[in-house]
Amino acid sequence: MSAAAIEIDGLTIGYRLPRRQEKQIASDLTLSVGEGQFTVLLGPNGAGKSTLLRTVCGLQEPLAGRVLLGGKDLAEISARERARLLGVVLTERVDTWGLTVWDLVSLGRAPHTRWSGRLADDDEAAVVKALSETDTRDFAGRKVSELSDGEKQRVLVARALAQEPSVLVLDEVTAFLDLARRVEIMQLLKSLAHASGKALLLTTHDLDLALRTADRLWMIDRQGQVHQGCPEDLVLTGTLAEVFRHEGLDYDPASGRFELHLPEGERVSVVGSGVAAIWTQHALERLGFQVHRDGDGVTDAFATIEVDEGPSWRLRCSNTESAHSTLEDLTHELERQTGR
Amino acid sequence: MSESVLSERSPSPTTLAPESLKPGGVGALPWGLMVGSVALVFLLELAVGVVLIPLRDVFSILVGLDGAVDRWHRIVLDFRLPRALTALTAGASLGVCGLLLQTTFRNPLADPWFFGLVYSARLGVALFVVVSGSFGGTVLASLGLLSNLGLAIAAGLGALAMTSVLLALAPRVGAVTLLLSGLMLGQAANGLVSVVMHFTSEAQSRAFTQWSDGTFVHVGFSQWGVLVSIVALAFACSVMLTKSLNVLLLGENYARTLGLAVERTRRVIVAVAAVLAGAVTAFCGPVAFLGILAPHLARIFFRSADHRVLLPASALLGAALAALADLIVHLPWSRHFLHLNAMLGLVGGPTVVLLLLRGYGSRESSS
Repeated sequence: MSAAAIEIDGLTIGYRLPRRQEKQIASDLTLSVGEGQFTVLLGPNGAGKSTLLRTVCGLQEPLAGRVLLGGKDLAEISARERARLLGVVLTERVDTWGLTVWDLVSLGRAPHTRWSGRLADDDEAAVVKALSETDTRDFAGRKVSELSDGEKQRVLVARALAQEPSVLVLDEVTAFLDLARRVEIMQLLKSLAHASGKALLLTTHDLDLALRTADRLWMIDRQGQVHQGCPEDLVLTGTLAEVFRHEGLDYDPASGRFELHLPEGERVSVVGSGVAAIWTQHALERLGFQVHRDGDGVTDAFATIEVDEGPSWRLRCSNTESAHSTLEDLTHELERQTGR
Repeated sequence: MSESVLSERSPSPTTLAPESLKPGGVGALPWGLMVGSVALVFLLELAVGVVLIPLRDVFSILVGLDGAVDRWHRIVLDFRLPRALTALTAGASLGVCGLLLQTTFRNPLADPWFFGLVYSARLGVALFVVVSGSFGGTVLASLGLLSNLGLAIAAGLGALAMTSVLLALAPRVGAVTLLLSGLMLGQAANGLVSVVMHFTSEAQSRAFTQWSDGTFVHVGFSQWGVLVSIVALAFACSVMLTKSLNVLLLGENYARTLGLAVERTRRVIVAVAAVLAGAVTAFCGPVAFLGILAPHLARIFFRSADHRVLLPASALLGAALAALADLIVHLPWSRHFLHLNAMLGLVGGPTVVLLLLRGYGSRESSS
């Protein structure tokens, strides 16, 4: 186990209200992120992901407990020293007033430069390195406002990297990005963590992607409990399924997929193999049928569907039989038969 | 560094020359043009008026050579020179003031006149005149330099009061609401000025109404000396704040994660802006639009958002605009009805509408 870059020790997060009242979101948390670890914070909306992240960044005061970065207590170091330890990418839009990519990334050097903000040689080298690591070198001269969302997000990561922090914290880093860009940025961040030894902590709404890329997960539930562990362990212990059950999502450990809670539908038996059979099952499950594959020995199925390569389908239902050339056609007929 | 190193993708990024990625800085040519046009407008200010004086003679008068018509010496040195110097100083001051406000409030429409700083500064001056007047009408006149300084300080405090109100308001409202609030509070302050004037002697109020409209005419050398000292001091402070201003472009939260004490820095910046607006208003009255025009023209002209460029550029453009507007007012018109603010409004009004139409007003005023 590598040394802890982020240590959370007896931390209580939440808000101070007027008249000495407090709204606690999670209490007595003890968590850690090791050097070079890519950790993803997951949890349902409103469970307190952002509050925890903001507290780790020092943007919000903890109600109790400590956050240590590289062994240093966040509450006891200066803002400038904190900025040298911790780089942040936030969800808020950056209104760039015509800043170029180079200018924006250079601002990451602010905790290192002297009063005028002039970049010394090593500052410029750090900016170039950050641009290279995020593959944004090619548009260093462009205006930030002209970039696509994916490019802009990478530039913001570059800005945080230019700070040369040992810890990088990113909030909702995949928001507003299409699937390809989401995968791209998660891969980028993961390889950054592994190559540079920086500790990365980020939140995302993309559960699937998080499970596939994270070294470790922090899972916060509605009760303010945070569970940590490697993704596979959290799946096997049922923690993942438990946290999201209340959100109307069922996690199926066998398929590795989240399923929506749907009313239990009629049983349908699918006979056949190959890709066509898999997607037939997909279509039926999407419509809420309970699907049994051939050989299950189901005798009380409402209907039986034979899948042929081609593909084509034969639907046998109590005493009728019909042939279909598309799944849409098949499912329409099936729904008509069930009287939906 | 050689071309070959740059063209291949080196595995070690630190060996790359930053110069290949860094956008070229602002060249000498735009700066030269800018300084040149300021100098040109300044000389025209000295040469042009009801009496036209050849530039050659303006030069010889300035460097103290004989040869020019005697009467011209007085016109250039006693009338036009202090007016031109005041125009340059006030313009530069308001340009920088506008830039500071725009960045601090993250509001591209911020301007000392729109934000009511100019009128709250006038209120400060009015109160100062009344209070010092109550110690005997001659106090102001006899104090000389001290009274000029007092005027500027009172105006600065007045402007500071307004910026404090707006700073408290800014996180809660949008850009346009803030702008309108400043505008309306400014009008309220202007109304209070009239109320305060009610308690002054006739002579005092006459002196006061003399600059109810902005003008650079009534500023003598001694007053200009006070003005330029205050403005120079405030410029020095602005230069010290360059890095903070750049970091503030990213918004409050990012600025904080970069180690900036955001609240304190904002208070310092608006205090400097209040001093700049106050000093100009104390001596020149309410001058409009320069604070919004100069920084935007600077951004367009230099295509930069970096305050190391924008600060001097806003100062130079503000100076040039102020002097140009003043020059047009003092052209040998057959009838004299042009006012400084009218000239500035001709350009400034449409510019603000253009900014609004381009969607600047819909941005968040504060992150």
